[in-house]
Amino acid sequence: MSSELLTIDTVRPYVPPPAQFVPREVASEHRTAATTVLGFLLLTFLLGLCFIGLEVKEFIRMVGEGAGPDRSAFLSAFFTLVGTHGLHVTSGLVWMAVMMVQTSRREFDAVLPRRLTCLSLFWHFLDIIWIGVFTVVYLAGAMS
Amino acid sequence: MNVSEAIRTEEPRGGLQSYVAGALLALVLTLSPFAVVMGGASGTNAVAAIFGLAVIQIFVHLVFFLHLGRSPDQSWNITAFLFTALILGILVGGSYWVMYHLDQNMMPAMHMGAFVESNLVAT
Repeated sequence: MSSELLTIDTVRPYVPPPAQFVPREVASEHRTAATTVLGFLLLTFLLGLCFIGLEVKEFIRMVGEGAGPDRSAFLSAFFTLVGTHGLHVTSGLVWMAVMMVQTSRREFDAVLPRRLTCLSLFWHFLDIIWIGVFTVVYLAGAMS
Repeated sequence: MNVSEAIRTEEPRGGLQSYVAGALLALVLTLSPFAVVMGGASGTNAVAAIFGLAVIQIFVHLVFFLHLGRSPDQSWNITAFLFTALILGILVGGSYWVMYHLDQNMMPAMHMGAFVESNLVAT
């Protein structure tokens, strides 16, 4: 077992370094990094928003046609499964908005990449779930 | 630990290139099963194809986006992932197994049919 496994990085309280100790070239490197991060966060946020928009549109259309969750066991399961994923994506969008504010306001220090890494894990895991959902519900459902 | 060191140690592996490669692969692996289904294919082969493509895409996401790899510092992540896969397999596979047998053995229509038939024969 390697020694790094024994240090629990996440519970160590974070003490920000005094601003005057950050070398100038490092500080400018961080500003560039922060701009790139902000750009990609915004792109991801907009794509996620499109996804939620399409899903809400689909739900409204289905309920309008009388195919709401109260119609059948299939539709109850459909709305529960797809709706739960949609709620998680919505929480991810809120989290992403918070991270965009933090990236633009905070020093680009050690704590910010860790939070962004956690958001990345959450978002990509949702993606993996969605592969299962569109394969089983939409594709296999359309074939049978 | 100074600030730039702190950032470098937490930097995700691979960088932008790996994300772009992963995104392109994911796009192809999403569009192709949709093409299969929208092209009107059906049957066991088509089902096997879309589920196979889904499994491949899950691995693409794991490697390119979640950075799961075979390097030694990843061994605990791999262990946790395999345990998750085992639990998911038991839950999903077990549920499917149980449901299948319930369907086979306890469908009311089948029993009623057999019941009515045997009564008809008896009377």
